[in-house]
Amino acid sequence: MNTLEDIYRSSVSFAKGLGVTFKNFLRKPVTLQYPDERPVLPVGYRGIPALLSDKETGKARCTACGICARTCPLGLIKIDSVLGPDKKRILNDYTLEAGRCMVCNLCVESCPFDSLVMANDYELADYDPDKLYFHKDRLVELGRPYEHSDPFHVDEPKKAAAEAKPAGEAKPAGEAKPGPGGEGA
Amino acid sequence: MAALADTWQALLDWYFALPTAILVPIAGLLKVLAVFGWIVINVLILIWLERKFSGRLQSRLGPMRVGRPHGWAQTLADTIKLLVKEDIIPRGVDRWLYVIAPAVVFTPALLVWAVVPFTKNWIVSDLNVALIYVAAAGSLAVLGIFMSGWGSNNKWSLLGAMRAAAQIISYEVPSVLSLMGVVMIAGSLSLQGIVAAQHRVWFIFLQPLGFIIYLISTMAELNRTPFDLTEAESELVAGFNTEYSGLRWAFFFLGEYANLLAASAIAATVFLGGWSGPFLPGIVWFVLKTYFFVILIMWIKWTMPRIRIDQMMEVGWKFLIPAALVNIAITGLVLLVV
Amino acid sequence: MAEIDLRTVTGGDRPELRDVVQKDLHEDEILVNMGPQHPSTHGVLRVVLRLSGETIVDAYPDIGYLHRGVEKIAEGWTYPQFIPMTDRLDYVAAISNELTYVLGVEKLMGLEVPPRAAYIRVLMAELQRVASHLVWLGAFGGDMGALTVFLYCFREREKILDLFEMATGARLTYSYMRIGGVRNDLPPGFVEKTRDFIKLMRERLKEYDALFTGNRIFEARTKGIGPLSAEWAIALSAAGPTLRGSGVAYDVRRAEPYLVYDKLDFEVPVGKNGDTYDRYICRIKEMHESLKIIEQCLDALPDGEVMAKVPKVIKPPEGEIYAMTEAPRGATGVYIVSNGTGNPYRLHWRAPTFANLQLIPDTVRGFKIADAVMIMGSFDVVLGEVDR
Ligand code: SF4
Ligand code: SF4
Repeated sequence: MNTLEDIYRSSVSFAKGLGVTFKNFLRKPVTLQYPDERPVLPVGYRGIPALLSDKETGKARCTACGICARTCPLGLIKIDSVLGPDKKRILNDYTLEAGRCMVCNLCVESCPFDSLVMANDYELADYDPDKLYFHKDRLVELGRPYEHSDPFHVDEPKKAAAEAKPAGEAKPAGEAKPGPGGEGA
Repeated sequence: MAALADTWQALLDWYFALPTAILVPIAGLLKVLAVFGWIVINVLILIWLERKFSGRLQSRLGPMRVGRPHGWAQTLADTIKLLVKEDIIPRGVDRWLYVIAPAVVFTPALLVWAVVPFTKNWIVSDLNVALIYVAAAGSLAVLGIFMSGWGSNNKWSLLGAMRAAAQIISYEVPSVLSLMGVVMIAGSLSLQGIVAAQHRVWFIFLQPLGFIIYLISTMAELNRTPFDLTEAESELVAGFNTEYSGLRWAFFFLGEYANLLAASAIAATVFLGGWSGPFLPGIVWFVLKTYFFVILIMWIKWTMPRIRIDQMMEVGWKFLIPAALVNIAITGLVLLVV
Repeated sequence: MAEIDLRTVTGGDRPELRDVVQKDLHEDEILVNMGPQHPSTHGVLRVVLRLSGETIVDAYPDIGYLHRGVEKIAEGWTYPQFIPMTDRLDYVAAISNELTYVLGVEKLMGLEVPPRAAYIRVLMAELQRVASHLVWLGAFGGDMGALTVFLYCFREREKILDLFEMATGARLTYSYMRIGGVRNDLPPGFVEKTRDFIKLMRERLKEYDALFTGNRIFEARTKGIGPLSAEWAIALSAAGPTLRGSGVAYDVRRAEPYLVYDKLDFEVPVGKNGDTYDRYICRIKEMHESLKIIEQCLDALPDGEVMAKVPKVIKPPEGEIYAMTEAPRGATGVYIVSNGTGNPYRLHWRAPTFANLQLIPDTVRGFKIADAVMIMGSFDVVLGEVDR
């Protein structure tokens, strides 16, 4: 009797399992065909640190104070500056060793002049390791589309909530196309 | 066009004018080539199908890139890749065993097709002991697997080969026993005879227990999950074929799918009435039924966890064989009474 | 012969290991290396198995393939700089490590985090627990040959990563906790999305149940496999579901509540026999409990700041501290010695899976290779935190 019960129990459990896989067979696949389709990145996605520029002059806002360089745990930021005539530092070059950057956001948070931002770009690989040292021009270009150092404003959460509202309203449109974890139930 | 037809006719005339001693081997060779072509084409389709099917079961798409739509050329590309790969024979292997093992694994799958009826007339040879022949040919593959495992001089391979031997030997018995019920009803061992005996009702309905036993033991012989112990990736790296790569590995792969196809064809012939069926031509019915089994086996494979070696032996000896014997007894009783 | 030498790793094994492994090797027994090049240990763990047929006579884990010297690195970095590094310890549950570390530093400095930050931290830690258990379940299924479950689990985990990406901007190494709070507030829409996820996840957990819990093969493969007695588990300081599977109801969230865990209602699931099956059940139940906690956090989420007032340069006073949290893999602790400067004088990481790893030889002895894979899998070892 025991054997029969065992057989019955086994059959039921196998049928259940087959049912689950069949149910999933009918679901829409969640695969994102990457180079053809792209994930919808959320606000505040961390791709690579980039330099913010002044909207009027188009020049980098960085004042070459060097705080970010000191904050980076890996010491990836090198700042080359000269002392200008009015005792203000003028930024010559700003180098980021992007190949080693762990995108931790510490440099962006540390900048007191709101001149660093996390850009959304993520396809930055290169065949030539030397090209992975990003210089000022490239970093400024990467940071061009952004206005604030952080979409959520670490220091001013209240203001951030108000500011991020438009982004929140824009969300549903973006969600119509599922991201990597998109669901077709 | 006319010239071509003339040439063809001339060729045929010449061919049939040949003495029998030459004609028969040539005909045989042509049949072998046809079967080989059938297997290769089907295996290409099967591999693609398995990838797509398992992909959908797992909420993915499967291959999409090579050959649009739906990556139909992926297997082709993979085949070419495997063909042009460097042929590596590791130092320390038993060279002979290592080299011929893949061929030995593949051959039985080829042999089985000699007796499978594609349609009423399309059959290489309507052997009168076909079922016995199938069982015998099918169990040859274990030799190749054991040769590869032993010859590889690798501990994981050896463990995989040992498992294979244990597995195929213990599942060959229930597999053959489960077919005996069918033989008793049909009164024939020839596959054509069995198909003919199913003209009114398929044997799957007369022999449900036999069918289930056959399905389980076939999956075990095919090394498909839940019985993929011989190459259980998470346990034995890749089991018996750990040391293989390139063309030789491709042969194992080919053999695996050719065996799957052969087993499905046999199952379709024995339990689902083979090529017989209304409206459609026989070959279509045959292919449909074969692929039904292929899909069923794949579906089970991608749902079940793997069983352990001792549990597998237990299922084989303590459950399947007694059940198959009971099945034979019941069939015999019913035949006596009716 | 010289030619062959080129192909083998020069130097061979450490004498300690070599001598132990080969001691009294019976002629019927073979030694096999499971790992580091093995699909189940994928490059980071090596277990030397002494086999008699398929039965394991003994097992010797060998670690160190992922050693990066994290504890030493900490001494050269400032306190905030070390936060991203904690992500790389137990990389399957990065948030939990960050939490452990910042709690340690806060304890050292006597900082109080704002209530909203505390709730967000708990929320994130529990989301991480679900994600981490999903990875475990998937890998566990994969170890057993049920690859489909692996993909299902990763599909659901992807949803959690989406949530994390929304809040922290990254999918794996979050760098989200800060000394004194969290980096930023939850973005708009996060709460609703999380609620949707909880609903979905509860359904999916039922599916996993149907695939595994009742499955005859699964039960045959897990019940009675690798039993671990409660005494032995305690003696070897096992942690997390591995400990609780043996029936010891010890959970840091309960025993020494941190943040807001004392205000939350959840259960600590425990097993009875301490076998692989019990560890599995514990983790599944924990996922349910975590979903419950997340829901409570979402309901109770207070308004307010997410960062406490912290000095610009973090220099904890002289002293030493040990802080502990319940990470998905068990009690994770950090021991910090401060000498009053901006860098830790010494930092030690208590990795739960390091303790669990040493259970391997005792639990796998006498079982088959196939069981060994499952038993090791059921301990959920992440070598990132074992090797550090
Ligand atoms: S901290 Fe900001 S302002 Fe100072 S050097 Fe860096 S980017 Fe420039
Ligand atoms: S993101 Fe982190 S690692 Fe990268 S440059 Fe900034 S501080 Fe350095």
